[in-house]
Amino acid sequence: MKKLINKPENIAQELISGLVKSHPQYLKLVDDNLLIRSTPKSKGKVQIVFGQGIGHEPAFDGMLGFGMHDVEIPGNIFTCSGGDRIYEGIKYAWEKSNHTPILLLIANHEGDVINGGIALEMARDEGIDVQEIILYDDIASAPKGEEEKRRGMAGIIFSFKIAGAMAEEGKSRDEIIEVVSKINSGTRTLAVAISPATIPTTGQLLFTLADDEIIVGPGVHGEAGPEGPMKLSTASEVMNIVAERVLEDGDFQAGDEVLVLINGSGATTLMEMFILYDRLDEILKEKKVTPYRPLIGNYVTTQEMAGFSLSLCKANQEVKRLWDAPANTPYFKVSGGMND
Amino acid sequence: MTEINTLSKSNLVEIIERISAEIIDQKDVLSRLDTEIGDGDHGFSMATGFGSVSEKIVEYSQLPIGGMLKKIGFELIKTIGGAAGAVFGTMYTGQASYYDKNLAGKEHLSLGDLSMMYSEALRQVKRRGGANMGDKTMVDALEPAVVSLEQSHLDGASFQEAFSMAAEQARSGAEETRSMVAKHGRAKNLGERALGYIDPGAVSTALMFEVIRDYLLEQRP
Repeated sequence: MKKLINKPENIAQELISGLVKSHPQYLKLVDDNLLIRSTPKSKGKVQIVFGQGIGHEPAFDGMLGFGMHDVEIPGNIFTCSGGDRIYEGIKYAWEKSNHTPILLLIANHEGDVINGGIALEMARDEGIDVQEIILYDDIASAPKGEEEKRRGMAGIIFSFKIAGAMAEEGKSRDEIIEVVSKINSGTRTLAVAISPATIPTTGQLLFTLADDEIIVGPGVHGEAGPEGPMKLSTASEVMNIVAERVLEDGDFQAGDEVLVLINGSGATTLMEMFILYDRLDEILKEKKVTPYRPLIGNYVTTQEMAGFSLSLCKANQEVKRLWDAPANTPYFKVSGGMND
Repeated sequence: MTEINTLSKSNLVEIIERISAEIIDQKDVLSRLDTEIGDGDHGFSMATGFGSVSEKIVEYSQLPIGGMLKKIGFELIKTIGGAAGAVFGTMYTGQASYYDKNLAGKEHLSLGDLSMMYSEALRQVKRRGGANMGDKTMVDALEPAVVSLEQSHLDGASFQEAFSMAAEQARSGAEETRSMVAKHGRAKNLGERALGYIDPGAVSTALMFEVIRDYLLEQRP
């Protein structure tokens, strides 16, 4: 393994510490390693709490702040926090906000769901008003018709952004849940990996691939998908495969407007992502589907894995407005200027 | 070898220390197994969790048996994290909840007591993780071991006999996960490609029962 780390067991702590020290205007660490905003949201607005494994930077520890979530409970590398720690995060948000309703976001991975469940039980036992939304989008991990079994991948950024914008506007938790549930069930993501990542804690490669092979459908922890490797081809050919599957699964139709995310998994260059987008834009034009302010870059990463994922989600006027609403976090910013 | 008919808290503490040492020792092996079908960190996270428990076990041992097992469980949930933390932690909090409800204050546990504690732990682990036999998880090792403990208790076996059988059952249950398609955990995304690989959580479970067996076999009056 060739990585700039110190002791593997200190990665989690040092990473969060460096993030917070370099962004004190945005982030602060409190209690037992809870990540919060330096300037809390004004009282009475829904608090959004999230707990997940780290190692996906900037998601979502580096995307916490105005217009996004309020409290994050960082876990270990690719491993979500224990349920009792997520409970601590919920409790912190509840107490500091003078008992404002809490929305717990859970990415659909087994550990996240189980520990989220433990946290919800503990919090509700104490009378804390908390509701959860389980986020999923990966079409490779369960067939159409079983969407709620799908993994949470980069496309869950859409739900984060919309939930965060609505909370900032002072919408009620019920309203947020109603809109975000639709965003979530309407989001479709498919990933491609072209070279593997090493797990920084163990130094082991997540999978191996020949120089001319790629994987379609890997997870955000580099888990291989249900399909074996296929031959590497051009960016356009790879995008043809990915876009076709995503468009078909999500039943995107001529006349639809869509939110678009091309997410780099860590080692893929922006150059490659723009080449991929260039082909995607052609495909969308052919299908008469209109992209709305695409987001392109490394957001939910898998260490130095090379590859990308494509996420699409239908967008009506209200969704577009919320997508454009300001956000100000260390690594995810939308300025008011996005509205033209 | 003298037959052991009860276990005290100090026996339990020694067992936990031995389990922690074994998991730490097998860290790399367990992580490698996880690389085949998961995300490759099972050994690392289990070793982190049990390392933390072994640092705190002396402090925990000041509590009654139920309180001590509960602390161990919550420390594992917190420090292992993920699904593994939740299920392996529940293995101990589940035992604690049976003890606190039915055995509170008892200082010497019979095989019957321990088998009931394990049964409750199994029930809670299955509820927490939603896994059943055949799903290629640690339940495939835990359930046969617990069923065997119950049977040994009914047969009037000693602790040594009971845990020798249970360890054997846990190990063969773990081996059988090779022929299973995963229904839980990250391996489930692999579908049939997980065939042939053993489930690392089931191996960890088998290791725990083997440690208990070896500990009991070494005891002298």
